[in-house]
Amino acid sequence: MGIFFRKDFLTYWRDRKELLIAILMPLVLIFVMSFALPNWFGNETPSIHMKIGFVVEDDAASGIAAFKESLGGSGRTEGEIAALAAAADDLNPVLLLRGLLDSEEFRGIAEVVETDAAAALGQLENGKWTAIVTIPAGYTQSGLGGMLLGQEETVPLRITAEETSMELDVLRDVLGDYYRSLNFSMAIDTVTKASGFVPTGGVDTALAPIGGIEQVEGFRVITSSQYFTLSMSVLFSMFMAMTTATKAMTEKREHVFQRILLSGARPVQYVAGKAMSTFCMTMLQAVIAFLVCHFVLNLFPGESLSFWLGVSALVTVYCIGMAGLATIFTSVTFRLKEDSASGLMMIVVMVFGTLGGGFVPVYVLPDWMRGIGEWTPNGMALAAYTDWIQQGIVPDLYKSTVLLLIFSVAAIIVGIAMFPRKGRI
Amino acid sequence: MLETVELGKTFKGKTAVDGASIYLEEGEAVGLLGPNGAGKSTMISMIASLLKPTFGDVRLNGQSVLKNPAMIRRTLGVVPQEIALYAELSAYENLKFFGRIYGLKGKLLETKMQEVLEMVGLRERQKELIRTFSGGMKRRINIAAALLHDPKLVIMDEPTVGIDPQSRNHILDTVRLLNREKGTTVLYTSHYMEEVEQLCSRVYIMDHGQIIASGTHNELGRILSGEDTLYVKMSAPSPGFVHELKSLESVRQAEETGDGVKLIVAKQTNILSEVVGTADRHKVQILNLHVHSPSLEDVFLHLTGRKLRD
Ligand SMILES: Nc1ncnc2c1ncn2[C@@H]1O[C@H](COP(=O)(O)OP(=O)(O)O)[C@@H](O)[C@H]1O
Ligand SMILES: [Mg+2]
Repeated sequence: MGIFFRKDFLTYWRDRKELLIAILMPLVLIFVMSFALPNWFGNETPSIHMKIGFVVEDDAASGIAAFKESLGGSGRTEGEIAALAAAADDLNPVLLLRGLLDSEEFRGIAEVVETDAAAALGQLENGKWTAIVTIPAGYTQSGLGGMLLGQEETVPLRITAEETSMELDVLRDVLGDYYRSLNFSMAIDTVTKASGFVPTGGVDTALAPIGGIEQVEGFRVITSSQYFTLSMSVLFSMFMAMTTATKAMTEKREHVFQRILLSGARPVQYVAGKAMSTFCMTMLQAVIAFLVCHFVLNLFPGESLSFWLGVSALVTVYCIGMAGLATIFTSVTFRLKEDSASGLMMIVVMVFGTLGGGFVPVYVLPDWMRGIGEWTPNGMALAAYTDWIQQGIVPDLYKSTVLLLIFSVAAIIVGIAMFPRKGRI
Repeated sequence: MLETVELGKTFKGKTAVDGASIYLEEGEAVGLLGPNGAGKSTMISMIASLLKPTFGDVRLNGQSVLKNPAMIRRTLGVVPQEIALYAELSAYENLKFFGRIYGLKGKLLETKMQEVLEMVGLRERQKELIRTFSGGMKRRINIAAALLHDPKLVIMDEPTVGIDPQSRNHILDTVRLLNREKGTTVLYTSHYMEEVEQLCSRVYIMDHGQIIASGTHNELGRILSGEDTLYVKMSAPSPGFVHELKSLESVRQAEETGDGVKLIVAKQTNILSEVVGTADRHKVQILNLHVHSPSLEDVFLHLTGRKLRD
């Protein structure tokens, strides 16, 4: 396989014009679109407005009292106990949250209605409200324990929604950021109807420490340049997979492939070489796109190492997926006439590209298209990237990485299985 | 060494090869001669087990290749009719790749590569890209790539189509070297008579998917034993003269060439005096007149009524 890989890599390398196009085209498009449409996803003018319900099931006063009570009898000095008690009065978690919800910044994106649980659920089911933020009973005591004593929080803040949506993402981000900015860990559970009211994972804010209250951020809505970098990168990887198949077509047309068969080499080696070279080329393409855009457009300022590791993991699995797509394409070119194969590949890439948000942002597409788009390789990758960038939830990253990897490996296997057997070429 | 038994291939109802049987002894150089579309390439693909025969069998040293295609890979080197090389890679890189897929590596591969490059006379230009080569040079590398693994049997499918005379001579020399000095068995396919006449001890003539004649050059010539070919060169064209020649009883065929006429005539007739007499009557001056023993071209013409290159 190494032999085939080297040959394929070399033929890519020699084709400078094509290589330059493959690498420069996405960059040019990203720059042009980032400058032409800077506010499409801009932070400054979020086009988001939602209504949320706010349900307080906890009695803050008795929660604080219970906390103070629990301080005694644990070997603390009088002085310590007095200081902690004073801090508990200052840091009343329910008041802090109210402060956020009342802030002008928050009112810019959401209208908050305080009500009781039953009424809130009614509105949610009517589809009038995006989500309910609930402060469950015991939240105050648990939150204070977390903030002041570093205890594990047993009662997380709860966000309830009918379905996932961009608004819900934003809400979750804002709350997550808020707690992060307070520099303490406060769990949030998100429950949606789709997941059967089972918590889908908390925001583990401890993983992304941001020091200091002064760092209160705006809303982590994805920026246009981030979006275009991601969407163009995943789109052009698909074109790269197509280029691989086009090169295979040339090998077939110019009878080089026959010569390969004459040597007794197995077709599997040939196809595996295609997969590997595509992987390398798409990696190269993606890494260049990300790095150049990062340095030129200041794409991900101040992000941590773990953020970059997450991005690298996604780039890698997606490129494996493109290797899979390339093997399928290659097999198709060996099974169909050249024209039909080229046409088919073009259609597939265009349809995937459109549904997956390569040409227009997915938010513009109707719901049913977005639904399908989530199952295109590029759409899947794009969603995983944006989730990671916006939310940075590690278990979610694992989930999307594994899912992408499964699809990628499956594509490689399908591609190899589709390749015509010897004597039928 | 190699044998095909009633080999046949049908493409969607169209028969390309129709029960062709040939054999090659070890060390022989055999020609497979036929016009375009005769089925030569199809036949080679079946021998190389790239293509499954519709019927018939291919045997290498008595064993069926169809059942065990791997057997023939080591023994066989095929020079395809097309330039089967990577245009964007250099001659060196191409040979290296093809050598490696044959399992050669390291020093041995390097030695073999230099050897075949020397053989086709392109050692100095090995670093250049195939794309930049002339047609003839590409053909030579195309041959070199098939020789890397020291095949005992080499099949060449029209290796001299459309190239300059220098490259052509080089290729013919290479084939001679392979066959006469290295003892390689060669099956040489062409639609150029002269090449096959020069290179091969035995010839198969193929047309419409069938072997229509076979034998040594002399044996084939004997097919025409009752005929001679007579070339008459005249000082000036004379339609009347040619017309009368055609009507002569002993003339079987007449064909005008640039400055004269070519006659296929029955043997042992006093044709010379008849031709001279006719020329006298038409006041035609004969510049040159000679009798030619039959060529393969003539054999083909005789057997099919058609010329080879049409
Ligand atoms: N893959 C194919 N499908 C259909 N017809 C074919 C195919 N390959 C060859 N033929 C036909 O078979 C005949 C013999 O072709 P070929 O073997 O290439 O002849 P040659 O090499 O003697 O010029 C031709 O009429 C050609 O059109
Ligand atoms: Mg041919």
